[in-house]
Amino acid sequence: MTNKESLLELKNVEMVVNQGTADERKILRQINLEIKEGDFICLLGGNGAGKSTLLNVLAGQIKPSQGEIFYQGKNIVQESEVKRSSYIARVFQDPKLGTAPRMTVAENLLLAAKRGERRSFRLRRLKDHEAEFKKELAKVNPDLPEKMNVAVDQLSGGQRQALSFLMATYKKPKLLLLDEHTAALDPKSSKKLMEATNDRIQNQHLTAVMITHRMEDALKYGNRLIVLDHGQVVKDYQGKAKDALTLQDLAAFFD
Amino acid sequence: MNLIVSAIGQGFLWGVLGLALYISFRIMNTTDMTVEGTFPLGAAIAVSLIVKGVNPLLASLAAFFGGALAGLVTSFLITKGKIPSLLAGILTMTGLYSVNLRILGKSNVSLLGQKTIFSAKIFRSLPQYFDSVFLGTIIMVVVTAIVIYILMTDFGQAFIANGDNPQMAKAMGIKPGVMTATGLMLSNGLVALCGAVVAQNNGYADISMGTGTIVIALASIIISEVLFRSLDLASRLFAVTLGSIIYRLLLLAVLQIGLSSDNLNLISAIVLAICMMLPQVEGKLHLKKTVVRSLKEA
Repeated sequence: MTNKESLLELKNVEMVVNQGTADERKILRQINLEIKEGDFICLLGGNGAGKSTLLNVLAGQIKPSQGEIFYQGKNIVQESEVKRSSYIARVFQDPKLGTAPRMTVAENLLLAAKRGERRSFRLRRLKDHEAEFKKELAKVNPDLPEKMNVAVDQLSGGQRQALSFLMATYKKPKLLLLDEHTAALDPKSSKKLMEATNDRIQNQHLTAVMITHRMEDALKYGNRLIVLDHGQVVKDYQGKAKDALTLQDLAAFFD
Repeated sequence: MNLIVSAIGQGFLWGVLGLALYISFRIMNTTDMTVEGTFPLGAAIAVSLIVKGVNPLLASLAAFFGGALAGLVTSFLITKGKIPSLLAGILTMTGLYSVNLRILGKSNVSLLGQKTIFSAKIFRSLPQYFDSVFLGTIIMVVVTAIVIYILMTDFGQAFIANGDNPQMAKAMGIKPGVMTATGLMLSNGLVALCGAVVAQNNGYADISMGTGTIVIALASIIISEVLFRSLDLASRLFAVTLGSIIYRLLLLAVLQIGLSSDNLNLISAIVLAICMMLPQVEGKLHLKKTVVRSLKEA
């Protein structure tokens, strides 16, 4: 626990929108956060607490108004989302955002297998990967292996999101960002995907930050729980302190 | 008979235009108006080079690169200038009018007595109009095969993904700017090549020959999509040329009714409008079967 290496560090990260106007609003305030290798962090907070913004800042989709982000000691605050994709992967809340709808399941996975790499003018050689794709698909959703050559827009939301999740983790990322990735699914698919997610994070020893609205999930999964409120980190439970938490404790934050 | 052969030949020659537009319109999901300027640009480059004594094949190749350059300008306006793609295309197109006039020197330059890619010996032994069918087929097959190859590489797959879902593409490490530039360069290069070939077939380059090209190209695409609903990408790219041929035959049929060729652009627009409205209309009137059948028999 104590000898884990620091993977990512946020220093005084602030995010202000509509700066200098009457609508000026601070979405993130003075965020100081260290993410250690192997952490599985559940990020909890009410609507507008800044959870998604924090994830967007980590992914590089938006640049913070202030502050620094260090990845393995290197300041990456100016690095683009595209560049960070070689070590940061993410799954969006909307199943439609994470996949290319007109391409097949296998074609999508092939893109994921080369996440963050230079794309060459060599033929794609889809066949070489098929066996491996089938094996990995079976791990996240039992129906997907038969749908390798089906266009993604023909899949159900649950299947599509399971594919998005596999795509984010197919090539092991150093940091996995999950933005309420099970929230848009029906209870059954949601539960299945959450279990597949947990299995994969444990088996591959991934470092992950997961936004969730479900307090049960926040208690059940992960080794660390961070509560965000009005753009600030108000609680950060780790290890045993997290294990000791109860639903009542968490519910108290939202009263 | 001659008229039909001629129409088929034109369909093949203009098929490359449809293919080029398919890249921007369908794969990249952008409506690129630049083509209305790059088509005459290709014609102007090829014709003025041929008149200067340059080998017609080299002149056509030069036209491709000229068109690609115009595509690069549009992509620069979109990615660096953050100008909406439709407007960016219109800007380049408008600018190109002056560029084209400058290249041509006057509004119309004839190729009378000049060697073109249609002057090769084999074509002289062919019956009338078969030269355009023959050469058109070769160009179409070669160009389509090259485009399919590119799309089937890792780069091409990333390119398709970027058009399909830019958000996901970025998360996968695909650079949107590079993709937009490559796509618009390839697409406009092919449009200019098509302009060069059509000009050599017509025997002249005209400053206004770009008007309506986007409608012609879209018509080829939409007709092929109405007739062949679900095709894989490779077959779809070939089917676009088929759409282009059918479009030419439709025009021929309309002209045969007795309308003069002055109405060509109006007819083109109406044909495209009808084709694009088909999915709406057929849903209401259950026209699908009858229309598709009659189009297939046409």
